[in-house]
Amino acid sequence: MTNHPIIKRGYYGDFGGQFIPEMLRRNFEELEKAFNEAWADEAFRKEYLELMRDFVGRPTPLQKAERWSERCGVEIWFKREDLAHTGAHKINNAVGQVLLAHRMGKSHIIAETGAGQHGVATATACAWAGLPCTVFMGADDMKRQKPNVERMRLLGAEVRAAKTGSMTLKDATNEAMRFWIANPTDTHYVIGSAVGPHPYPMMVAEFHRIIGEETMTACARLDLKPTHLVACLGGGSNALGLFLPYIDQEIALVGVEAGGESLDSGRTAATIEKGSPGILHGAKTMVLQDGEGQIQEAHSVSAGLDYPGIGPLHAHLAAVGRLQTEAVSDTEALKAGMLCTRLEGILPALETSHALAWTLKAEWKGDELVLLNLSGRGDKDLETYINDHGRHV
Amino acid sequence: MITDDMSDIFKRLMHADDVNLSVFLTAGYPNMTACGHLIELLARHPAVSFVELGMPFSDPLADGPTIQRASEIALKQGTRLDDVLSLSKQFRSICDKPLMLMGYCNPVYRRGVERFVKEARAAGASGLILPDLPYESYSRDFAEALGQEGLSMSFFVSPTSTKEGIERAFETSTAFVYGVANVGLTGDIPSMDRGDFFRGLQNHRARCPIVAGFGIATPEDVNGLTGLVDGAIVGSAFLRALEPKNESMLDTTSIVQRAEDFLEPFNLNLK
Ligand SMILES: Cc1ncc(COP(=O)(O)O)c(C=O)c1O
Repeated sequence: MTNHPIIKRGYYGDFGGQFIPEMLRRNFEELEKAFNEAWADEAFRKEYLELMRDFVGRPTPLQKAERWSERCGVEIWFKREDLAHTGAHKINNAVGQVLLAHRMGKSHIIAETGAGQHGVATATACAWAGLPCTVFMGADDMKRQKPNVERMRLLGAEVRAAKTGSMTLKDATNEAMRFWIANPTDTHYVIGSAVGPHPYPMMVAEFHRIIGEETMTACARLDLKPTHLVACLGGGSNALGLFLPYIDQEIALVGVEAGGESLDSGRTAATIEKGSPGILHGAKTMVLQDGEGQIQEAHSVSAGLDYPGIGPLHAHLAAVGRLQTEAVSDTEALKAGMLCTRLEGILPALETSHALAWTLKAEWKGDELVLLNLSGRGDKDLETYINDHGRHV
Repeated sequence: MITDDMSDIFKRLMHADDVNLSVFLTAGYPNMTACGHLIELLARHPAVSFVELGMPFSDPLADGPTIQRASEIALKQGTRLDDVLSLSKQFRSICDKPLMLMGYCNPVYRRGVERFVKEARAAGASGLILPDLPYESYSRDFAEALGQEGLSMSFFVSPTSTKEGIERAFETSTAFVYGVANVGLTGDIPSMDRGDFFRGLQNHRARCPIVAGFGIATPEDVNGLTGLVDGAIVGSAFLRALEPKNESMLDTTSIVQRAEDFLEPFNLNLK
């Protein structure tokens, strides 16, 4: 619900809001109203949940990672979002928003994508719904994540290269917003993470809440009492999905950011660690910026984490001390990804590898119980893993 | 809403017989030196009634390709907020035409709103245009500071504005209401009849001048709005005219010449 207690007039604490041009204001008013109505409508929820079950394949398993636990010296369970249709959690939100767009009578879907996972998920949901889909992707990311570009095209989506700025996720988001300004009436913009102007952060989080809810149910069944929830932080959607039902409980929430080359190299995507409050893509949040308030380019080996902002809900949770943030480097993430492949038979997405890497280096007492959101599978990253692997053999 | 205690330069715009021409220029484009000459040209040019000076930002959401590129080029060459302010100061040393600083919120918040407003005042600016500034943030963070320094603020109306949105823009703006007669970005070719849009706003016009912008490129575009608006802003078209297309177009004299050539036909507006 967008009337969740931590929201006041579109703000999550000090963060959030709607820093949007007038040309988009009506769209946002309509969107907030439509989402609130849909989410309170049992018929809509039922359709969404049926799709989650039959189309996406939910619930996804909660699996004990035996050998990973052994290596880390603490008990770790994986929430297997990599097993969701299209290979990442992103599909939950894509299906939810496409359903909503359909309900709103929209006839064209646009999306931005970094790693291509959200683009693939949206193209997939659009194929299912029979809606035309345009995905904006940084020209640089199109090279890094080529298989996903091809997948989107096979699914019938048009992929448009964003050629401005750093040619990554930030620029793809700019292009999607601009397209929406120019085409406000027929189009719905399916934003891919818990970022952007209100109500997006909360709406995206709500469509992912199912991750945390299933986890709770599984924990009850297995009699597990988790002490830590761990997830990687790009814009923050997989993390919030897992965290949301647990926010008021006594449990550590750990968000792992992409440190990039290293935290102090200036080539990083660790927005909460290294950023400061600012306004990006219509929300006040933590951003990487210079002294003049110009947004800086983020750097990460992972195209899905390569973003100089973070969802405003995370900025808020971090500011009030509810969210613990950590950072791991490109190298640590690549290593962890390969190790997980060998130890668990799961090739994780490079984004997910960041969360995994932190559990390897964290200092555990040994009596904790860790639930890690295994947000996606790494097929799209094969080339990066293979190149890196080659360097180490 | 235009009130008595605000600077009266915007009142002068109201109900002029002709449409006042405003030119938008991205500070630091095509380079700082040329920009200094351009701001001087705009200050002295008889066809130009007022000026929007663009504060370049890395992520200009409401801008089309031309202003995006101009901002990118300006930033690459190291244009800073202080450079924007010194251009404004230079302009003010020559003329008393209104000059609005136009940009996005983040650089202003980064500098500190109060400090920025004071600096803008000291640099002779008349007001601010920040398309991504929400009304709530304006009331909380800007209204008092602007009032103290006698600076104005413009808000937007567009074809997608709700009735309440239009009401609020005319109620809150203290310079002019910026009318985007176009569903699109700066520089986009309009997909609808501008006249219809502005005719629908006429009963608000007594409260605050209306200035049209986005995609206005030619003297015909400007003249076509006679009787409907108090001013019209030419932005992307002007920047496109400045754009150096080869080496020989890079020097300042040639850039300023192209600006003069571009403005020449607008002189015909002056009777
Ligand atoms: C598998 C996977 N995990 C995580 C992310 C990061 O996004 P978020 O922080 O919104 O979950 C992405 C983004 O592309 C992704 O593909």
